[in-house]
Amino acid sequence: MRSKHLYFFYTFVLVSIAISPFLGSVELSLSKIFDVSSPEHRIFFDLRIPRLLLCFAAGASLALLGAIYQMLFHNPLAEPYVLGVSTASTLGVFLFEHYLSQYLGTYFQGIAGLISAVLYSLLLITLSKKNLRNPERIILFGMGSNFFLSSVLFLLVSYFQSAIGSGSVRWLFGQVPWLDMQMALIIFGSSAVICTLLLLQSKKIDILSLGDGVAKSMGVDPQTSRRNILILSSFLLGMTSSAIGTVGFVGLVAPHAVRLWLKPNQTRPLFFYSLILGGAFLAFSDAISRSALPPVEFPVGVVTTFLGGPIFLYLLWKR
Amino acid sequence: METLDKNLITAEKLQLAHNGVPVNQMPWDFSIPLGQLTAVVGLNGSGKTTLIQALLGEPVIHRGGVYLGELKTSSHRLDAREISKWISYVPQEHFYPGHLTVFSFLQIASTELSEVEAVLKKMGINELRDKNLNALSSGQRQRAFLARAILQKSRILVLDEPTNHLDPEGKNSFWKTLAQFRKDSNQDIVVSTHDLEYIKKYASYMLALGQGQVQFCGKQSDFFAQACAQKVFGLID
Repeated sequence: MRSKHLYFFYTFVLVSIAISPFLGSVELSLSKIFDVSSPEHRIFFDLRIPRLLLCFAAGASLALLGAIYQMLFHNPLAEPYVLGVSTASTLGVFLFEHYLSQYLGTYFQGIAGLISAVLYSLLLITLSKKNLRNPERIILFGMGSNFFLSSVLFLLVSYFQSAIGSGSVRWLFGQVPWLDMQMALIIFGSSAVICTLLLLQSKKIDILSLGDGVAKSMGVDPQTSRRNILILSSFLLGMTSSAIGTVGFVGLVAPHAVRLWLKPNQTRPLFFYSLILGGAFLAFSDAISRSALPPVEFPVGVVTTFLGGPIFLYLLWKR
Repeated sequence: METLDKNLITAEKLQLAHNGVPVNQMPWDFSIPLGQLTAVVGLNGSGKTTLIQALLGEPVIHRGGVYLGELKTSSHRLDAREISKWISYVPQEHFYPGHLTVFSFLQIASTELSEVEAVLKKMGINELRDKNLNALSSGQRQRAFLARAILQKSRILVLDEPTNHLDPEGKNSFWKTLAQFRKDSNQDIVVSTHDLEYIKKYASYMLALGQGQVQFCGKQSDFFAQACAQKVFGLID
């Protein structure tokens, strides 16, 4: 029974990924893209494929982080943004855009976001040694700082009126940029490395999900392991948020969809399938966002929620 | 092989504090010998769970110390690896990932298939091996958690009020399974519990806490013979 579902799953994933670069404000056909001199060729290989790589990497990262956080924090509603890392990252990018980009250029925007994410995580880790020893308190702190940092962000956005369009949309619903192939490959490659490192921690995460006391008695120090996972996550999330802003729904729902659809009975498959589903889903949503009503490009987060909500409800209803 | 003190657990002028609030004003001194099934009793708030936290090396010790053999739990050398050799812990409140089946849950504790098979049979949960953890009854889940703890093969099995949420039949079945396991393996067990009738049947040693003091520490039969229950619980046997 499970293999039948797995077959449909992989078909869905492969079809979504294969179709996505063909959709957009310009119709592309299979024959034209291989004509090296045609504009279609350039659109496909220089714009759409990098975008696909970026979206897949981002969606996969969000979904994997969501699955991991749901276990680490014993909370089925946990998702990657719950600790406030992404908000800190977006704030960092925004501040960079307005104060430093005139000196350093926009190329380093991503680095700014990454550095903000890591600095924020270090703060989180330092605090977790003393006041935030348990997962519940860590989430509460994340919620609180999310509220605070996002209000700072909104204050700044309204102050710098000119950015009110792009700044807040990026943060609320995400916005996928057109990147060159080199940048897309860097992001894809780094995401792949960090996701692999996280997947290798599956067993530790299993143990941590049983509670701090049990984890300790099984030989896993909760503070150290959580810290290591948070460091990896903050790199991944910092990179993702710098690139595409905040895209909701994927991190929260992909793991649940995998649980309902494929019913994995071990954790590493749950993580792997979530990653794949998240990547395919975001790639596909991005394609839809560009092709639903051309030349309007909907923010990708709007599409993920719009498409994903009913699908998720359907899955829930079927069980 | 580490040389053990002739006692399993020793407390020396122990004063515990939970979140900064002291648990006992009078320091505790007691020792639990080897080879026992020790019941830790006391009203809620008497410090049973905090004592177990101290055994796990958590920062709840205000003064004095508690020793596992000769190893002081508050020493800096004590990391999670050391603790796991000594203690296998089943907490009062359980967190667990619902997607795991009983079998894959137990595989977290041991990758030896033969061991997992053996413990599934011993705990009487073999038919449940492919069921998800969240599809079990609380009694069945409790036995799965006990199975996981047993697979660790630590020195001491420490259970914090394991029958709290179980109905009378669940309690009975759990205690029977635990007692049978002890007979077969001779493992040291420390259970904090309110189940007096089962303590009488199966426990060999008792530690009773009440009014901030150690009210009793000794053979279980002596506890009931000396009618200590009244002092500890305000009950009449």
